[in-house]
Amino acid sequence: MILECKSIRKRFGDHTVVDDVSFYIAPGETYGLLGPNGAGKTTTISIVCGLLGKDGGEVLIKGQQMNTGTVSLRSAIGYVPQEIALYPELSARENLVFFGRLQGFKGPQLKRRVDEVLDVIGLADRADDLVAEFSGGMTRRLNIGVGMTHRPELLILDEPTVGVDPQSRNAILGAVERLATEGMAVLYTTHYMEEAERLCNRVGIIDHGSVIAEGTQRDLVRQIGQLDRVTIESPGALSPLVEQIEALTFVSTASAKEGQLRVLLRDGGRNLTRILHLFEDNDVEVRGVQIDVPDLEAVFLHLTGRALRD
Amino acid sequence: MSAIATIVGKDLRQRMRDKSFLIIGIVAPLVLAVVLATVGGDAFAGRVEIKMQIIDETGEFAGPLLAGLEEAGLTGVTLGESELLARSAVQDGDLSAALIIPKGFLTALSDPSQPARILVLKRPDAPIAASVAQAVADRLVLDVNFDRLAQASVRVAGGGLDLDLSSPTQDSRIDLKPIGTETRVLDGVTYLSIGMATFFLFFAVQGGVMSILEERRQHTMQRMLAAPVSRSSVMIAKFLSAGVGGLVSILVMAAATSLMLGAKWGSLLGVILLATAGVLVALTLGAAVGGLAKNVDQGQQFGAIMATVLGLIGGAFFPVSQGPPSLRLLSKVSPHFWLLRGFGANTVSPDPLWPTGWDFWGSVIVLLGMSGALAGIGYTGRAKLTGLGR
Ligand SMILES: Nc1ncnc2c1ncn2[C@@H]1O[C@H](COP(=O)(O)OP(=O)(O)OP(=O)(O)O)[C@@H](O)[C@H]1O
Ligand SMILES: [Mg+2]
Repeated sequence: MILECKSIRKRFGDHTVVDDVSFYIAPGETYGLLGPNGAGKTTTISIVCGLLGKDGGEVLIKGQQMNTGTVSLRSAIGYVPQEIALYPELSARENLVFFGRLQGFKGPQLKRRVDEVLDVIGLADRADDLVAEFSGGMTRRLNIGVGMTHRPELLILDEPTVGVDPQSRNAILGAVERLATEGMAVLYTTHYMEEAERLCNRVGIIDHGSVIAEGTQRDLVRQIGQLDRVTIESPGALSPLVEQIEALTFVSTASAKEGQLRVLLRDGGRNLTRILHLFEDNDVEVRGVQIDVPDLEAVFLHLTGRALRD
Repeated sequence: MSAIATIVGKDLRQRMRDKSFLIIGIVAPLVLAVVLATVGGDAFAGRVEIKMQIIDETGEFAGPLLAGLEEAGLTGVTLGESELLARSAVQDGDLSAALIIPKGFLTALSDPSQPARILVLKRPDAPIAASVAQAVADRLVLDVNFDRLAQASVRVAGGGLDLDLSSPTQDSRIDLKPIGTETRVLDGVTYLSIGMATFFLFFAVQGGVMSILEERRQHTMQRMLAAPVSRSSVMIAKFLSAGVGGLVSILVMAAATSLMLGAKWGSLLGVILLATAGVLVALTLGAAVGGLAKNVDQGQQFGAIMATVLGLIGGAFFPVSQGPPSLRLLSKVSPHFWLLRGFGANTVSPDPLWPTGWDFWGSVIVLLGMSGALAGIGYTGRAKLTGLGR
């Protein structure tokens, strides 16, 4: 195993933020930690990287204990923080060279690595421009590039696509996929289930500091049994409907957001009309209806009764 | 080791590029020193000329005093006939200041119970002459027989340095005690240059220390620590680059003010030693302040307030020896006071290579003590400074 987390716990004051979290990542595997804001993803990652002490459990990198004082194991990890962690008054190349040096590289080898990374993140032609002049998407890409200059065995990406335009986002996901096929293990946190679905071999769903479900996407979907996912689009006020819909016996969960009502229910094809009746009774307009098999979002909804993003 | 060099190199490059170091560490102190020296006019032009009379009713002091003043670079000082004539000359503006040593002064020296008066007459429109006259009064007490001084608590009756513009002349009463270099008359340009260099030293160094908080805010600290580099190496590197910045600032100031303004800094070794001690205090002060601050903005504010207050009470802008006794006492908590004292001693050190005298080495020791105490405070707050859990 490249990474094993065994029952790690972290408290801030009397607030337990990471509670008995265990998971492992095999070499070459991409593992997703999927969870809403404040679930404890960043805290878990900080502990894995030895940046934050833990109150219990252990982190093993390639079978060896990783603590806040451990230095040597760190070169196995490429850490990409959730926030942009770059020097704006240095150029892209200078940022890459600086962090590459800290990894112990120098001379022509360092230069080669830096040029490679600049290619991968598509910034070769802007290499000598100051980061302060970069767009949001470019800074995001460089933020990721810095984490992979030393070709770590485990790349840890903490919500790398937050606030990124669709084009940059696609480039980032593509780059991660490519690295994964080249054999790099990846720990990827996100609250976008589409990203987890596209990238990850296995996913851990984390909420309130606990991993509440784990497995391949198929495993997870199987957990919620023979349920269907219905999405109803509407410009009307949906929140008052949620309670009435959840009261229906065949409905597992319902949630409303961004003009969409998502319902997890048994026998969707047949029971949908009962739900639409409620729309009619409440005089709420319906713009569109869709029935799908459950996805990770539905799994999260089923397990927690809440949507992944609010 | 190479990680430390890498981080220091990055820091220096960064500080050069954002120009903050250039402005705070070099341009600001230099420009201020030049401007103040120009505004000071004749009085700061190397040799200080002051229209001042000494009326010595004891007949004991005038000769050696005049010779001593000449040697210190003061010209324009003459012997006067009587207090009355001097008074009207000061009133008319023919004289900028006058110093009257009454007969009673001599007896007061041998008899501590007797208060003695030294009268300093000054014009409100000639503050430089006024402060020089007062410094000379101090100097006088230094130059008299120390045996007698030891038993004599010399009291010069009077009321301080307020310059009341409504009356053209004013009697000044000062408390004279046999104290050290703080009363030494440095030439104006040297005093200004040293004052500005020490004042901005603290800003330059603290800017470097606060960049630790800045790296925390921009998350590059976490990124450095996620690399195979120990926490202590990162901290050593950050403090090292902050300290190097401070040393560069003060050495450039010393060289530039010597060349441009003719300031006399004295022995180079003395300058380096004191600058190093000053940098240590500034670093540890920055660490202590940074450990107390919530974030980088607050750290920078606290740091600036500390540096300004300590600079003011320590005498970076005006000699505290001219101030009231409470300020003279207070000034001793300021590292600037000891830096100025040490630099002052260094400029008049008889040995051009090796600084000598208690005023120099004592100041170095006090500064090292201060930085030791501050390091203790900084160490207890280190978790706050690095912002990282155990
Ligand atoms: N230094 C800290 N002190 C106190 N509480 C903290 C600290 N760091 C994090 N927390 C709390 O721990 C919880 C988990 O935070 P964490 O950053 O790990 O969540 P996250 O899953 O990364 O969320 P997001 O998706 O918003 O990044 C939150 O409730 C947060 O307020
Ligand atoms: Mg997070």
